[in-house]
Amino acid sequence: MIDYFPVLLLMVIVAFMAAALLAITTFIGPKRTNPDKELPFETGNLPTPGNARAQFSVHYYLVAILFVVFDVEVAFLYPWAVQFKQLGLFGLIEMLVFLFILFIGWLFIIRRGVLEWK
Amino acid sequence: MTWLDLLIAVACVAGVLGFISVVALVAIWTERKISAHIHDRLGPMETGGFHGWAQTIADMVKLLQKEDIIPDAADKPLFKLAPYIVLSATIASFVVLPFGAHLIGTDLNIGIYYLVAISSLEVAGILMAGWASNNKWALFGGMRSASQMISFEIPIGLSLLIPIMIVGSLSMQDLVGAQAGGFWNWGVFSHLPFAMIAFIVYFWASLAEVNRTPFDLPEGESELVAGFHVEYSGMRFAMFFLAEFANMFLVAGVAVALFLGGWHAPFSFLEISAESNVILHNLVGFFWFASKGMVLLFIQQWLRWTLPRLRVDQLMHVCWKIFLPFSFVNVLIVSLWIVLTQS
Amino acid sequence: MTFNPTDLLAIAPEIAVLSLAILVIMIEVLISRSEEVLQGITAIGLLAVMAVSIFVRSTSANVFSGMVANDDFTMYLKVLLTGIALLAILMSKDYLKGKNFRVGEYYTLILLATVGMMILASSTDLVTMFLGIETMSIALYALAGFRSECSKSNEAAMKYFLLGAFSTGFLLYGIALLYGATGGKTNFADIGIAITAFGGDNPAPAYLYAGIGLIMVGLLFKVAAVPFHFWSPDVYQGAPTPVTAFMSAGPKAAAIIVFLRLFGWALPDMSIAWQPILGVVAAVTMVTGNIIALSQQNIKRMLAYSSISHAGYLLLAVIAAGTAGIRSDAAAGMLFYLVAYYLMNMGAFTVAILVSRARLDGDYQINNYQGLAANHPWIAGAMALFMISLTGIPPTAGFFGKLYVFSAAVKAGFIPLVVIGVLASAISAFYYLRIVVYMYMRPETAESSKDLKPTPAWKTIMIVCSILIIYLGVMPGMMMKLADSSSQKISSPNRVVTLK
Repeated sequence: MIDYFPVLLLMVIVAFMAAALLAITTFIGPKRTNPDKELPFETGNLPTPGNARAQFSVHYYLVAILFVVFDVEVAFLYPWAVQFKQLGLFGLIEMLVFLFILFIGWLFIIRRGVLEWK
Repeated sequence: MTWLDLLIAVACVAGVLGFISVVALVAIWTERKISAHIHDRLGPMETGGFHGWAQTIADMVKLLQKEDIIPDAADKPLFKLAPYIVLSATIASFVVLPFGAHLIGTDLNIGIYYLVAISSLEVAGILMAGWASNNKWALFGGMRSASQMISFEIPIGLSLLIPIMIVGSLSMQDLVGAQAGGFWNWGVFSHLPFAMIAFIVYFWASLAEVNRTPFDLPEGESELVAGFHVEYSGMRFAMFFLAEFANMFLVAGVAVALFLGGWHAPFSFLEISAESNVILHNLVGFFWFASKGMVLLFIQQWLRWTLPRLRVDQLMHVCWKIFLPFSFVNVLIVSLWIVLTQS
Repeated sequence: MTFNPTDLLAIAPEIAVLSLAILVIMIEVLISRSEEVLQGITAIGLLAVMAVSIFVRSTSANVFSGMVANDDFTMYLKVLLTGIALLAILMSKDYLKGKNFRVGEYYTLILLATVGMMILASSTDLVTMFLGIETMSIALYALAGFRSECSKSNEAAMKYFLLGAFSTGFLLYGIALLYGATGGKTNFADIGIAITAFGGDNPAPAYLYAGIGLIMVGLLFKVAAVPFHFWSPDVYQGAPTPVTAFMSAGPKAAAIIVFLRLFGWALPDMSIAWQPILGVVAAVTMVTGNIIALSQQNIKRMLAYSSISHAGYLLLAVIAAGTAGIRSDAAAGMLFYLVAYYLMNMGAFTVAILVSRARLDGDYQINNYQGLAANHPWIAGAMALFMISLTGIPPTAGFFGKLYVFSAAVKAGFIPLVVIGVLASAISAFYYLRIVVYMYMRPETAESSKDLKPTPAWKTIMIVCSILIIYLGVMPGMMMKLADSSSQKISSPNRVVTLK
């Protein structure tokens, strides 16, 4: 676990550093607020009415779902890639079956037009 | 854990942080100068005397004095948290980057895996910033950014597999060590041309990962003002900015470590062996690593000021229909090659 | 953990169904989207899978380090589950016409759910059990919401998904606790052996009981037993009707079988703890399901509650299996019951589709059956047969199914439960036979005199189901012998010992 200690240390130091910078900026920076300044910034115009958190194109959602599928698959490939010389042809065939099924899925989403942005 | 271990850890971390700050300062300045020269301008010339070298420092000081504005409509806790996440995710990835034979924060046995995992945390921060700002442009930018970064993470993950398969380890030093002895041993030239293809796919996909042109839609000034960080000002904005430039060097550093020989010199006579002088050996290694990284950084900036921006559907097309199958087939061919030749 | 290529023969049916699913989806995307082609391939493929399950088997008893069973019991179940999928696909053939469905995806999802069911039914390890449950459920979530233009269907998918995911959480916690309590065992046989070590001055840890309880919750949800049944009426009503028929037969069968295997073969030594709880659950399920079904006006909801009550009857077999010496009797009774239930339920849903299609609004109200017998004597006759069989009146398959399950429970000494079961069946006669009364004793209406236009596929299902129900009702001997002999050969813990 000692290998991970610098990671923890770095996280702590970064958080401290960022907090310190923010502290400095609140200390020396001006504090002159007014209602106009607090509005959402839309290139100087008054913000268009309506909530910013409106409904979104479902494509983003689909991309996120696809990411989950394919990224998990890539995550599976990593341990295999380290060990696959030892696993030899058998491991390769197993992985080919896995990738083949995934490839079918990929072909399906492409043909189904999931990634066509209209 | 002894005090010496602690001391070494602190030294490593301080070194990493110092390096990131210097790189960001330099990179911001070169970005300005390169863009200016490509535009046939001069760029900053006044601050600091020689070609405006102190411009970035002056900007930092200026940003420190700015007011810290948090819009009324924003989701305040998330708004404050987002820059921390982006910055610490970026910086935490540097900890496994091998700058020299011993110049490495910590040589984890799952180094590259850790790096890929931690650097993708950044997406959460960006999405958080876009959402918390409660601004339409910021939200658009955040969503675009997230969808683009997660999409391109897959070709990146697949192309990084190639050197891992060849070397058979996830440790960064192992990966670099396998490329010793001249540029013909570098990862990019092994199993020609497949590692080369992987490198090219990685480089282009990493441009998308750091939101650089031609994949800079999330920030597209002409459409979205500035994307997810439009509501951020002062030091919070500076944190995003720092993270962005640090990230540019990070992806370049990964490319160098995995494909371009890491801290090895192009010819072995340009190195100083560890037996004769450990410190010089490391310093020379650091020199080579940093220079290769800077060259890639320069290419990133060069591309930014040369290429136009893609549309979102073209972006997805490039990622899912070109990079993904290419890197898939690439992985398969290389694995077949290795398995068939070893027996 | 060594891999023996002949082990693959033990899961050849699963591999075949999975390949079929891939083939169907690929044909749809790349070659043809014609319904006839896709359906023909799926149906022929499933018939081939049936043959594969019967004839291709590994000779080894201990396949994949004992993670899946490879015995006659499993083979019987695989044939049964393939049969369920086959009838569901036949039923869907004309149902899908004119609806804007993507047929290939629909068939692929049914096939994938079937793969999950088959893995589940053959699992003898907590890991394969979880794998099977998830493969099955995820396909079913999508199938429940397949009528994407219909808000009821979306509601069904959402409810099923959220509650299903929740119950999966329970199941997984239970698996983790069981794994911990038995010192790192996931194999059913190993768990059984590990549990015999408890007792005396080495009492079973409390979290073993908690783990068994949590697994029970997860599995009871999948079989829709009271009090984990709330999803099922809404899901059954909202899902496309062939999917409802499929869901009420297949996943229930697969889940109850793994229930039987896990509790009867891995945890018999804990039966003191779980038999009373399951007994209460079974009693409440039988009574509640039947009583609520009385007040239903929609035939899909009525059949949903009926399927809840049948889960209660099936649980009796699980309870009986916890008593030593009764295990294979209980398993045989359950096998017979599952076949009977599958036939009568599929038949009833087919008639429900027919009747609702004749109406403009596609309504499933029970009133639609008024006077059906006058114009459609054959369809009404088939429906009456299915209803009688569901009630459990001789000479139908349903009667013998109940008889065998109840007699196993009596042998195990659960006489009060059997009495409750018989009384609950008497209650169920009210609502099952109400449909018969509507069909034969009410005057016909303008709606019921319409032509129902049964297509060849639907006719086939009704004829096959009716004939088999009567056949099994008159001559249950052969089927029972099959069920009996395959249950005798179920892998028992003594055979797969892998102690380290």
